[in-house]
Amino acid sequence: MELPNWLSEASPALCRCGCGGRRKGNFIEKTLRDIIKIIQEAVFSEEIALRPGFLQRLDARIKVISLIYLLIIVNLCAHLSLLWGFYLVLLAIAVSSKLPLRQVVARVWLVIPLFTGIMVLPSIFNWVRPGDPLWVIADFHHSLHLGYLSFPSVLAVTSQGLWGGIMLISRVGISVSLAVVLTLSTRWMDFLRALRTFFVPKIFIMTLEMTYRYIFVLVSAMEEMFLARKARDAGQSAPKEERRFVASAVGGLFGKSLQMSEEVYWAMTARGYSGEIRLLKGSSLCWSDVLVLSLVVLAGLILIAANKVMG
Amino acid sequence: MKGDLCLDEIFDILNVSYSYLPGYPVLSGISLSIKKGEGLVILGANGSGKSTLLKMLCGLIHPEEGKILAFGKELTEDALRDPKFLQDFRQKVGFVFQNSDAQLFSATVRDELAFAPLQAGLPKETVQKRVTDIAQLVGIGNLLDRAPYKLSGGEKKKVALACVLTVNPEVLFLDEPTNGLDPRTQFWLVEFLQALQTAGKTVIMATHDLSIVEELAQRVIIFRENHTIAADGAPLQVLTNRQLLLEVNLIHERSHFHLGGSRQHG
Repeated sequence: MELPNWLSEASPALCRCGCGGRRKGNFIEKTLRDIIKIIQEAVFSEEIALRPGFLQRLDARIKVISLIYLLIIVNLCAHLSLLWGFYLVLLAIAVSSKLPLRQVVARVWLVIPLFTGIMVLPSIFNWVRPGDPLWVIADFHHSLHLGYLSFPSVLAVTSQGLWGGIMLISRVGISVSLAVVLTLSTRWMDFLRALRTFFVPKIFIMTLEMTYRYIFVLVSAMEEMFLARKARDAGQSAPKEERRFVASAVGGLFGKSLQMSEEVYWAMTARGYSGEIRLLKGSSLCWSDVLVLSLVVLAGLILIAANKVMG
Repeated sequence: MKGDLCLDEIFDILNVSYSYLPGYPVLSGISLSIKKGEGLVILGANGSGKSTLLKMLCGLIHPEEGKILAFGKELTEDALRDPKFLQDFRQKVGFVFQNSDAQLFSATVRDELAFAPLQAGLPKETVQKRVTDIAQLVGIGNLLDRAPYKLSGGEKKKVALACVLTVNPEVLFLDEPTNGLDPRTQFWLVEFLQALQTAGKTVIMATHDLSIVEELAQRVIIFRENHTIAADGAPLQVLTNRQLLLEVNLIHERSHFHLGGSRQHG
C-alpha cells in the first residue's frame, strides 16, 4: 500500500513555551463534563442507597407507605415547633443511616425558600392579605385606588402573613426533605418495584424501568460522541460550528435511540413478549419492617395529638 | 410440504429472499435445512445477511419470498399470532443478540433472567429456581441485583446468554457471540457452548470470527457478499478451501488462517 507523501511526514513539533495563552473551556467541554457528572451522580446515589444503614435496610414498600402517611401528617401540623422537631428527628435518622447530611439539607433549603418564597411573598403584605401590621414599609396617609381596586393607606408586613409564609416554606421544605431521604436511601429499581404493589399498572412501571435503563446507554453514547469530537478538536472551531455539532449529535442520538428501540423490541419478542408483562413477585415483608411501619404510624398520631393539644 | 420434512429436521428454509430497502436484498434465494442437535456456524463478511437469516429463523422478521418451516410448521406472522404456537415456539428458540445493551432491557439482572420463563407462563417458584440455577452455572450469582448498565462487556454477554437459557430452549441462535470479548471470556463462551451442544442443544451462530468455528461447528455455511450461499459442508472441507475464503472476503491474501492454528490449547 502506497501512502501519500503528506501522510509520511512527521507532525509539527510541540511548542513548549506556552506562548499560545489559555483558551477558555467551550460549551462542548462543559456539556461533556455535565454528561460525566450525570453518570457519576447516578452511580453515587446508588452507592448511598447500598450503604449498610437503618433506612437502607427497610423494605421500599414500607418507605413509600411511610412517605405518603408522613406527608399528610406534616401538612396537617399547624405548629412550627412540631414541624421543626419532626425535621430534626428526620435528620438524625438520615445521619444514622449514613446519608450525606449536606446533600439532604442543601438539596432542599437552597431551592425551596427561593421558589416557595417568591410564591408566598405577596401574601405577607397587608394589601394582599389583611392582618396585624408587624413592620410598616410605607404610609401614604390616604387609601389608594387603582381602577376598581382599593388599597389601605399603610403598606405593611403582617404577622399573620409572615407566619403563614414561614409555615408554608417549612411544610414544603420538610415534605421535600422526606422525599429526598426516601430517594437517597432507596435504589431507583427498588422504588419502582414498590410502586408495583400499589396498583400502578405493570406496563407503566416497566416503561419507567426501561427508560431509566436506556438513559445510561444513550448518555454513554453521547459521551463517546463528545469525546470523539474533543479528540480531534485543535481549538480552532468557531462557536457556530460547535452549535452545529451539538445539533447533529442530538440528531445522531435520536437515530441511535430509534435503532436501539427496534433491537430492544426484537429482543423482547424473541423471549416471548406478546404485549402482556409478567413480573416476579417482590420478597415478603419481615417483622422489623412491620414494626417500623407501626412506629411511624404511632409517631404520626402523636404529632397530630400534640398539634390538637397546642391548639 | 409438512410431509416432506425429515423427523430430525427442525428448520427447512426454502428459497428465501429478504430486503430491508427495496432493491437492496440482504438474502437472495437461500435454501437449506437444519437438523436437531447440529452445531451450525454461518460465516460471511459484514453485511452478507447472516444476522438477518438468524432473525428470520427466530421469527422476528419474515421472508418476502420463499418460506421457512420451523418444527414442521410454516413460520409466518400469522402463525405466530396463535398464542399456543407462539408460546411453544418462543420456548424452543433462544436468541443471543450481538448488542447486549439492546438485549438486556430489564431493571436488574434477576428480572432479566426471569423475563422469558415468566412470559412462557412458568410458575413463579420454578422461575425463581431457574434464575438461581442458571446464575450459578454461568457464574453471575453475585450480579443478580445489579443493574445491567453497571456490568462489563463480558458480564453483559454472560447475562445475555443466561437470560435466554432460563427458558431452556432447544435451539440457540447467537449473533457474533465473541464480538468485543476478552480472550478469557471467549474461551469460557466456547467451552460453555460446547457443553450445551453435548447436552443436545442445537447451536446456530453467525460470525466472521474463524477462530471459533472449528471448536463449535459440525457444519459450516458460508455467505457470499451477494447474499447467496457459497458453501455448505463440514468445517474441515470448507475452511481448508483458501480460494473460497478469499472469494467471500473472510480472509485476506496475507492472512495466515489455518485449521487448528487459531487457538492455543492448554
